[in-house]
This record gives sequence, structure tokens and C-alpha cells, in this order.
Amino acid sequence: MNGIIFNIQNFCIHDGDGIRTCVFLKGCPLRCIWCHNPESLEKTPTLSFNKQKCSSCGRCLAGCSARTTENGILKINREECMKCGKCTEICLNDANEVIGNEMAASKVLDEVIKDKIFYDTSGGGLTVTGGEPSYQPEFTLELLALAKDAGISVAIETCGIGSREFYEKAVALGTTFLYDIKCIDPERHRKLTGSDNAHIISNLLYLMDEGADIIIRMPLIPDCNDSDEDIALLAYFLNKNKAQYRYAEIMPYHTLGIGKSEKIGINSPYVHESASDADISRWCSLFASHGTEVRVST
Amino acid sequence: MTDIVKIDPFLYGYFLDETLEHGERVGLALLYASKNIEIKFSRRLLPETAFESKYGSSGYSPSEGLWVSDENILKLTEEFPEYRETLNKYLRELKLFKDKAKRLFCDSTETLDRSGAEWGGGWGGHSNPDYGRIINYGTDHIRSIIAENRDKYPDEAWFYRSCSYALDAIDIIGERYRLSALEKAENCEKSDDKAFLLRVAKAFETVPKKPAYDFTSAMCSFMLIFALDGSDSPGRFDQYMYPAYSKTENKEEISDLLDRLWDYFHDHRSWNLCISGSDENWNDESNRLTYDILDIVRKKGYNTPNLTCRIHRNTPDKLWNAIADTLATGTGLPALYNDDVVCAALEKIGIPPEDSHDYCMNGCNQIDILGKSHMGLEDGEVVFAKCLEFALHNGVNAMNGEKVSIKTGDPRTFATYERFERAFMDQLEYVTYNSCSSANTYQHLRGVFEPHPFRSCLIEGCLEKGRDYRNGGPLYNHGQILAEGIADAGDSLYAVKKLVYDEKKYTMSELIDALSKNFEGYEQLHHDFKNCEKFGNDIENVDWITARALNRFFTVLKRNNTYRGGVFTGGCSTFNRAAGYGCQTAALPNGKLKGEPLLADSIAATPGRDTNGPTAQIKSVLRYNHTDACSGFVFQNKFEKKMFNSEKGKASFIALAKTFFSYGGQQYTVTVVSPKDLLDAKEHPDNHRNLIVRVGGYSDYFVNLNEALQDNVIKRTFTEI
Repeated sequence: MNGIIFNIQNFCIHDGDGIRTCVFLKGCPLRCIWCHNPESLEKTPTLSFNKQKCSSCGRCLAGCSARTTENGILKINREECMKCGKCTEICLNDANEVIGNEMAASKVLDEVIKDKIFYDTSGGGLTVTGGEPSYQPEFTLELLALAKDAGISVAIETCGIGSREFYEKAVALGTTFLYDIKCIDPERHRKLTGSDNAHIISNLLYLMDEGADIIIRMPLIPDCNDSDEDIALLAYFLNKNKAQYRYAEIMPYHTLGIGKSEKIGINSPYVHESASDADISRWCSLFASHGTEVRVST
Repeated sequence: MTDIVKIDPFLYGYFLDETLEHGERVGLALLYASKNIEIKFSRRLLPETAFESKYGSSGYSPSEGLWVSDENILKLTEEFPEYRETLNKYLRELKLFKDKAKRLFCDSTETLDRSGAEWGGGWGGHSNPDYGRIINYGTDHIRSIIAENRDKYPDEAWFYRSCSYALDAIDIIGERYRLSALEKAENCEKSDDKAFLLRVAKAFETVPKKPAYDFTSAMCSFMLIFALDGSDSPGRFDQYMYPAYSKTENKEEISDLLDRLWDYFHDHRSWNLCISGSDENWNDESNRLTYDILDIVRKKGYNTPNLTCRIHRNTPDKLWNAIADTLATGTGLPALYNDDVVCAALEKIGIPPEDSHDYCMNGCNQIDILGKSHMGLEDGEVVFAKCLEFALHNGVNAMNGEKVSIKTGDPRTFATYERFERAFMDQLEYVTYNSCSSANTYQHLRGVFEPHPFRSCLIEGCLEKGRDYRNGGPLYNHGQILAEGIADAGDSLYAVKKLVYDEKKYTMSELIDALSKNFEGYEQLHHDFKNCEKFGNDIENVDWITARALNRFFTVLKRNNTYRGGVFTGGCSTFNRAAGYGCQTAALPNGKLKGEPLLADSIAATPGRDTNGPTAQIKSVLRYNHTDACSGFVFQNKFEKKMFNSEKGKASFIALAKTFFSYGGQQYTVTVVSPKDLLDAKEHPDNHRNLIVRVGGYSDYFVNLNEALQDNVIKRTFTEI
């Protein structure tokens, strides 16, 4: 079947074991205020427009009802935009990009399999990420199964919000889970991501019971989810389930998402400087004070 | 009155007996120089005599043999009026000699050469003489080889005399160092230095006449050879130094000597030093010295000498890890070569395994067999991008309208893509042939006019055959022509195929008009051609066209013999010349603008056009047959220094390199992204679309980052280096 994907990236060495190819799926049910992939939020294609590249030449106005110029400056009415992609062909400065396109799982596998020689020497494979893979469950499961049949080891990076059935099937395929925990406190979780975390934690505990291969990832966002109490709760959770995951790592906040937000015409709900070295060392010593071993993704 | 022999001992020796053969006179020049040139020590007290006269009027270098500076001789005539007549005579005679050389070998391929399509034989080149022949056996051993062979070739008696002079010269310098070290030690106040100088003096009682007995004496021998060979390429240092190394118990003595040597390399020029490798049965030849060398390279962080490490199917993990640790320093050293491919390539041209496994690098990355070959280094270059320009313009240099190459037809009339590709291949063949032929002309000239008695003593075959190193003496005498701008030609061919012949989006006439006007007024066309699929992204259709072009080049080369008695083979390493060739190339269907200083980075993509990451780059270049290349076939991946700071990053690098090698890759170099790269990427994003950086746990293309983040990464990179 077809899925909506927005990127296939080779030589990813920080998203699971060995050298991996990451397939990024469009669409995520969560709305984390710090999201670093805002272009992935909607399930449908998104128009990205880089105004730094635009010379306001007006070529892209032809045949496009979503575009006008005001005082020589190009304006885009995003409601009107059909994401037809004509502007991407016409624009001589490559200022436009339609993010996300439909692709059959078998076609995606054709791309992924290209790097099999590297997976074999490095112990790597495919990582499905996003967006949120469980938001396109059938497509993700088909892709994982196809990859597995092709002798490629598989992983997904997930926020844990998918249905239990999805995780049951994924674990049966021998998937490694890069599992996000954003906040333990349910109320704060809802505030920061738009959703409760009861289901997320329950899925994680299920996977732990099943003996799945799990790597815990904790995006830590200054002044959002990094209070002493937040970290104490995270540490408590990790300590309690210590034998049930391979390792846990901190993903420090950075501002990568802000530039992307501008291009897709939305305002970042959270604007902050990237996590500093001081932030990171504070987090590490807090975890250490609880006797919890964590890695830092750099 | 100063004696003329002190003013310029080279010329004095050379003009001592004008009735002798040129080659013998060069030997005499060396002999008189050895007795009279200044004896110097490096700041770390190693012998560092440069083979040139005190006033820079003449000297002896590996690329030119005996050289003369007209300007400095003229200065001498003013400083020493009493010798004006003699010096003027020297100058006159040498000028006559040079003119004779020029007359005999007039350059017939000048126009093509000047167009920036090729060159051949313009310079003398690097070499890998067998240092071990003197270090481990002594000059007396070489004298015995001369004695065994000289009677077989009575006509070449002058050649053997010349080689004997060269050997005497090195012994004389050794003896002068012994005396000088003693004298220096006497006046030396620092006890460490004094002890070191006395050890040096003692070593020169034995070397270079007799075999070295420990690491210090081996180092003394090494320094003399290195100086006399023009500070070129030490070759397989960890192999020929190992016998002396293993006789030395004192580990501090060894690390102290390596420390001194690396400072010497850093202060002076030095080219290529090679470590590790395999024997013909694939046994690993790395030893303790191999690791000591990686240690010193890490410790010093110098970018000279160019360190090459030979990898093969049995390279131990311990060595791989030491390599990754060394690369983490950010100097890009060592470069890795794959024995499984290089030896296969050498065996294809008839070099047996026992010799192919003794290959090493000289200069930047040209391949030679240690002490057994003269493989050109390099003989010439062919610019594929320019050949494509000729095919588009029917043999005309589109930069100036000059007709310089063969007519292969007006492409506007070509009905099929295949016809166009044939026109390109014909141009490529013609230009390649010209490069070989021009290289041979110069090789012949050098063979006759630039004898090299010293290298002849250190390269097997010369003394055995009574022939100079430059004149077919070595066991192997193949040539090396380098390919440039391969991907630019491949990308252009593919764009023509796709947009003109397959999709028929544009006609050939439109394209040629657009190219002739440097795309002015053809912006949409330019955009479409520029955004067409490019080599380096693991896209089979583009890659195979590119590989086909290179394949033709290798086939043509092997049909050409070298003057010195081998065949031509090829390789590809652009150094920084690609930019120069780009300037001499007109607009091309890959979107390149007229005179734009941008051509492919050796065997890889045109800078910035490979946007699918290092694995795709590797897959693309693996579509070439690397066992066709007997000269360096250079492939570079650029990484952030950060990658080597983590165990995961190092392991990933090792996996990449191992995969590349086990699927037939020949050479792998890692360069580290510099602040300069990043500043340039900010200004010219188009040329750096392949640059991946890591930001807070995520990788992204640098050019996709917003300005604030870009500045952040730049700042970070500055502090890392």
C-alpha cells in the first residue's frame, strides 16, 4: 500500500544500531510545542517556501490562484494552495518545495535496500520515523515486514501513541523501538503535547513485558519538561524498569524546527535558545543523583 | 681567492672533463658537491643537508636531476669577477645543451595542451627508491652489485662510474657528518644533545657503508637518502626500518627519534610515507613500528608527510581502531589504500604478486613498487569535461573559438543519443592519445638529458641492466595519466540523453545555443539541466554512463606504450587543479557556467551535486572498475570532526570503509569539514548541498539550516580545530 513520506535519509548513525536509513513519515497526532520536524505534522503534503531564496520574479504566479504580489513581495495564501508542485518546477531559485509524497511500501523498500551492503557490515538497517510511524500503521507494518523479508533489521522511532494492535504486530516482527518519553506527569504532558500519556506509558510497559528491544529517548526542553521534579520522575520510571530497556538517552532541545516553521508558514509555539552545555550537565548530574544511567545524544 | 669548487661544486664537477658522457658528468657533479657543500643539522639535530650550492646557483633534485639557476649564476659573476669567464662559459654551454634538448623534442601537441584538455610529461616526478638497500645492506653492498654487472655492459661503463660517484658521494657526506657531529658535541652544553650527537657520530662510523645496527644508525642512513632524494617519499618506512627497530631495546630512543623525524618532516617538505600492508599470501605486515607511527602522527597533528595506510582482507581490528583514532585528530591522515584492489590492478599489467604487494605511494597518491619501478608519476592529465565541450562544438575550443581537436560532427544533426556519446568518446580517445604521446616525448627527453645516478642505485633493474632509472632501467616502467572532470562529463551526457533525446524537452540546437551564450536568456533551460539527476547519488542510469566514459579512457590508455618500456595506465586525483581546468572549460549541459572554477572532486561527484549522503556516494563510485586504475584513484568523504569523537561515529566510519573496500573500492580518504568550508557553504550553498552537519542530536544538511544555526555550527567548528 501507499504511505505519505517526506524524506528518506541514508547514513543515519544515531537512530539505532549501525548505519541506518531513516524513512520519515508524514503526520503526527501529537503537537509537541518544541517539535523539530514541524513539516511532518500534517498527514497531507505541505508547501515549504524559503523567502530568502525568492527573488520576487513573479514567474510562479502564472496559473496559481494561491499567489499574489503586494508591493513586489510574493504572498502565498496557504488555504488556497493545492500542493500541485508546479511552482517547484517553475521557480529558478528553488524557493518552493512540496514536502511529502505518496509512495508504495515496495518503492520505499527499493530505496532502503540500496544501502544493504552497509547495514550488513555495520549491523544497521531501516528506521521508520516521522512524524509518527504508528499514525500510518498499515503502511509502516507493511514496510517493516518487507524489510524483514529482505534480511534488513528494522526499528521504529515512536512517541507511543499508536494502537496496541500496532505495537503487537511490530514487536512480532522483531522491531527495535526508539521510544520517546516526553514527560511523566500526565497533566503537563497534555499541556506540552496536546495529549495524555497514559496510553503511551501503557504501550511502553506492554512492550517491556513482551521483552522488546527498547531504547528510551527523552527530549529535554529547557523550561518545559526539565524541572528537577520532571527529571526525578523520569529517573524513577527508568530505575523501576531498568532491566526492560537497553539504554536511555537525552535528546537536548535545539532550534532546528524554528527555521522550518517559517518556511511552512506557521509560528513556532515555543521559542528558546538551544540547550546549553550547562543545561545538559545539569540534567546529567540530576539523573546521576538518582542513580540513573543516561546517554546524551550529541 | 675563494676556490671555484667551493662556490659551485656541482658545476665544477660537471665541467671537470667535458669529453665525458653527460650522465657521468652528473655523477661527478654529485661527487664534488658531497665534498664541498655545507653540512647542516636540523633544529632537532638530524642531518639535513640540502643538495644545492651555497649560492643557489645549481643543485641536484629528483624531479630535474642536475639543475641550474641562470639568475643566480649571473649574480655570482658579479660577486666573483675573477670567475666571470668560467661561469659565463658554464652558462653558455648549459644553454646550448638545453636548446639541443628542445630542438630534439619539439612539442607538437601544444595547442591541445594550452586549451586545458590535457598535458603530458611536463615534469620529472616522484619515486619510491628502496631506502632499505642502503639502510639494511649498506653502500658497499650496492658496490658489489655494480661489480657483478658492469662487465656485462662495457658500453655503459660511464653509467656504472656515475653510479659509483653517487655512492661515494653519500659515504663522503656520512663521514663529514661524523666529524661534524663530534665537533658539535664538543661545544655542546646540553648533556642530552651532546649524548645524541655522540650517538650520531658513532652511527656514522658504520653507516651508510655498512648495514645499520640500531634505530639511531638506521635513522642516520635514512636522513642521508631522504636528503639526496630531494625530501621526496619515504615509502614503506615501517617495513624497511623494522630490522633496525627490532634490534633496539630502548623504546625511549625510538620515540625520541620519531619525534625528531616528524619535526623534520614538518619543517621541511616531505611527501608520502606508507605503513602496513600484506605480503603475497595476504599475511598482515603491520608491526609495532606501524602503531608507533600512528601514535606520533596523532601526537604531532601535522599534515605532512602524507600518511598512507595499506588495508587488506586480514587487517586486524586493532589497526582499524588506531586508524579511526588518528583520523579523529582532524588532519585527514592516514589515507587508506586497499591491497585487494591495488594488487589486482598491478597484476593486470603484468606485475607478479610478490612485487605487487610491495607497492607504496609517492607524492600525493601515485603508486609505485618500492625500489622496483618508475611508473611515471604522473605523466599527464586528460580533462573529460573539456572533451565533452569538444564533442558539443565539433572539435572547437568554445572558450576562444580555436579549432584544436578532431571533428566529430555537428551534434545538431545527430539523430540519436548514441551518436552523441560516440562523438564524445572519439574526442576522449583523441585527447588521451595526445596526452600519452606528449608524455612520451618528454620522457624521452628526460631519459636522455636528465640522468639520475642516485635513484639508479636504489631501484632494482638499473644496475642489473646498465640503464638509468629514467631510461627504462627499473623492473617496471609503466606510465600514469590522470582523468579529470569525469563526473562533469557523465552528468552532461546524461542530461543530454534525458532532456534532449528521451524526453525531448529541448532540442540539441537550443541546448548548443544556450551553451554558447552561457545560458543567458535560457534560464529555464539552465535550471532544468542543472537540476537533472547527477552522478554520486546512487542513481544507476547516470552512474553507468559516467563509468562507461572512464572505462573507455582506461582501454585507450592500455593501447599506448610508454617510451621507457611499459604501458600507460591511469588514475584520478584532482588535487586543487580541478578549479583551474574548470576555468578553462566553457558552459556544459550539467549546468556548469563558462569558466566556472568547478570540476568533479577526483572520482566523486562535482562538488555539492551528491546530496544523498556518503553511502550513496560510495555506491556510485563503486560503479567504476577500480582494478583498472594503477595510479591513485582518489575518493574522499567529508565528515564533521564531531563524528570521530564518539565510539559510534568511529565504528560507523570503519563500517563504511570496510564496505567500500570489500566491494572493490581502491582508496578512501576522509577530510574533516573546516570552518572555511562552512563559510563558503553559507555564501555559495549550491556548491555544498552535500554537507551534512549534526545539530543537537540530529543530522541535517548545512544549507538547509537557518542563518542563526549555520553561524552556530561555524562557531563550533572553529573551536574544534
